[in-house]
Amino acid sequence: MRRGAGRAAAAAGTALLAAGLALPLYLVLVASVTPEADLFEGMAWLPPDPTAEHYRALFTERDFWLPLRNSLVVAAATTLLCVGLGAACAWALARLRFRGRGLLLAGLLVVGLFPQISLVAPLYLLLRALGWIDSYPGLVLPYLTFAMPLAVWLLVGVFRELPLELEEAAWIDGASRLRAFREVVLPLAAPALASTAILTFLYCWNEFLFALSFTLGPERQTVPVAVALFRGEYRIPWGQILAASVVATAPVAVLVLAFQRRIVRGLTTGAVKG
Amino acid sequence: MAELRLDALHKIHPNGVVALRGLDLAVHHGELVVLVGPSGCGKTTVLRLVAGLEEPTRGRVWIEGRDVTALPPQERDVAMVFQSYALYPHKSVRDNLAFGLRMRRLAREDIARRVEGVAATLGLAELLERRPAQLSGGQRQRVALGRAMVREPKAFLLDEPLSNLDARLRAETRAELGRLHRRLAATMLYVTHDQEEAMTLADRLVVLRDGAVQQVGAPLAVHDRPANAFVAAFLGAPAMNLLPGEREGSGGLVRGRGFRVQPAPQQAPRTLWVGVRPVHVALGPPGSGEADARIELVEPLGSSVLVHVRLAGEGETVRVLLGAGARLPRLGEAVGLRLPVQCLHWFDARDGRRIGP
Repeated sequence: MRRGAGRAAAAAGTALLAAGLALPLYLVLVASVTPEADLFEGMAWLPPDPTAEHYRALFTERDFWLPLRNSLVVAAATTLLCVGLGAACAWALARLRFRGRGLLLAGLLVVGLFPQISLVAPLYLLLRALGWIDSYPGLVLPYLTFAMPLAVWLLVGVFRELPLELEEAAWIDGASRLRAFREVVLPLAAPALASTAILTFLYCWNEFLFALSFTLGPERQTVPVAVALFRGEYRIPWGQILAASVVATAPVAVLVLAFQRRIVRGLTTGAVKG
Repeated sequence: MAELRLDALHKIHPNGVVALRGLDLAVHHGELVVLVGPSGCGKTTVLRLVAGLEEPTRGRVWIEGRDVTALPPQERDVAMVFQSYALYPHKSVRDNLAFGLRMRRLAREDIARRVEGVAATLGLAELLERRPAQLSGGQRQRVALGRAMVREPKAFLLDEPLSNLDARLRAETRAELGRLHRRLAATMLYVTHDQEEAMTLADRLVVLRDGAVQQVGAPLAVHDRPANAFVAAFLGAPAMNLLPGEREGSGGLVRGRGFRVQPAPQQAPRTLWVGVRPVHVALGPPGSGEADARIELVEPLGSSVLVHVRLAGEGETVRVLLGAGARLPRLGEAVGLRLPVQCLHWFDARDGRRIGP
C-alpha cells in the first residue's frame, strides 16, 4: 500500500514537472497559429481561428531558409570536428602517459568555466586578424572552444572505462594503434559519441551571443540571431517570431527523441559493467 | 612454431615495484612451459614482456632466434589468451576469429577457410554468428583460444585461461588444452597459480616467487625433489608438512616439538625444516612412530581422508592423507605418526634451501 502510494506520488510529481516544462512550448505552438490580431486577446488553450499565415510569411516575406541553412552548416561542422578531434584527444588523455597530462585535463575544465561574454572581445580580435568575421569558420572556431572541453571530458571518462585488454588483444592480433582505435574503441564508445554529438549540436544550434557578435548581416546569421532581429515596419512581428521558434525547435526535438535512448545509455556508460 | 628465449629479464614498474629480477628461460619448439607461482610473483609480467605490451627494464626477448625486444606487439606474431578473454564485444564470433587474419591482409577465402576450420575443431561452428555476450563462459573461453589458434602464431601466451571457468568445466578444458597442444605441436607459455593445472599440463614447470625463478624442471621432478621450502609448500595438494627442528649430537638426530627423526644428511645445518608429504605419513598406535599426536580434525574427501593432527607438547599441525579403506580415527584420539626417513625432505631453516639429494 505504502509503496503504491509512494509510486503514485512520484508519478504525479513527474507529470506535474513535465506539464510545467511543456506548457510554454505548447503556448508557443498555439500562438504561432493564432492570427496576429488575436495574439493580444489573452491566453487561449486552443487557437480560435487557426492559420498558417505566420509560417507562410516566414518563408515568403523573408528568407528563413537562410538562417536555417547557416545554423545547420555551423552546427554540423562544429559537431563533426568536435567529436572527431575530441575523441582523438580524449583517447590520448585516457591512454597515453605523458608529462603534464593532469594539468592539461584541468586546463580543459577551466577553459569551460569562463563566462562566454568575457571571451567575446578577445575572440573578436582574433577572428578579425584571421579575416574570419562574418564567416562559417568564424563561428565554428569559437564554438569549438566551448564544445571541445566538454566533449573531451565526457569521452576521457568513457575511454577509461573500456578495458585496456581489448586494445591490447587487437595490437597482438596485428592491428596498429590507429586501427585498434577505429575497430575496437570507437564502436564500443558509439553511444557516448552519439550523446556527445547531440549535446554539441544542441549547444551550437541554440547559441546566441557569439553568433550575434561575430556576424555582420543576414548572410551568415544563425536562427537565434535572425529571430531576435526580426523587424516589421511598425511593430515587432510576434506571430512570425513564434512560428520561427517552432521551426527552429522541431528538428532538434526530433533529433533528441530519435536518439534519446542512446543519450541516456551514453551518459551512464561505465556506471555498470557489462 | 618457434623457440622462445628470455635473457636476464628485469622489470621494474614506474611506481618502483620490482616485478622480475633476472629471468632466464627458453621455451623450445613445441614445448609447453608453465609459469606457476602465487599472485604477484611476476608471471603475468613475463607474458606481457613476451607479447610486447610492456618493455623490460633490462634483458632481451628472442623469438625464433630474432631479438624482438624493441618490436611492438603487432610485429611479434605471438598470440595471447587473456584471463578475461578480451573478446571484442561488438563483433560476432566469426569476426572475432577473423580479426587477426584481416589485420594480416589474408585473402577473404583463406580467412573463411581457416575460421571455419578452427571453429569446427573447437565446436564453435554453430555459434559463429553470435556475439560474445550470448555465449556461456566455456564457449567464450573456446573463442578466445580459437582466436589465438586461427592465426597459427609463432608462440601461444596463455594467461590463466581457465581461471574463470567452474571446477568441472575447468578440468574438462584442461584435458582438451593438453590434447590441443600435442596436436598443434605449438610453443606455449602458460601462466597459472593453480598447481594442479601446472602439474598436469606442463612439459616443464617454472616456479616463480617475487620475480625470481625458484626451480625449473619436469613437473614430477619438481614435485618429488623441490629445490627449497617454498616450492615444497607451493606444489602438491594437500601441501607438504614443514616442521622446524634442530640437530642434536653428531648422529644425525633431529628433534622438534613432538617429534624426532634420523638420520639427517651429513651436511645438514643445526636448524632445519623437515618436510613430509601428507600421503607419506602413516598413523599407528601411540608411541609407535617418530611422533606422538592427537587427532584434531577429520575431513573425508571421498576417495581419501585428510586428517589434521596436533603434535604432542603444543607442536605443529600435521596433515595426513589416508587411503579410502583406512579406519577413520576419532577426534581427540592419541596416535603415533610414522615419518619414513626415505620420504623426508630436508631444508636449511636459514634460507629454505634443500639439503641432500
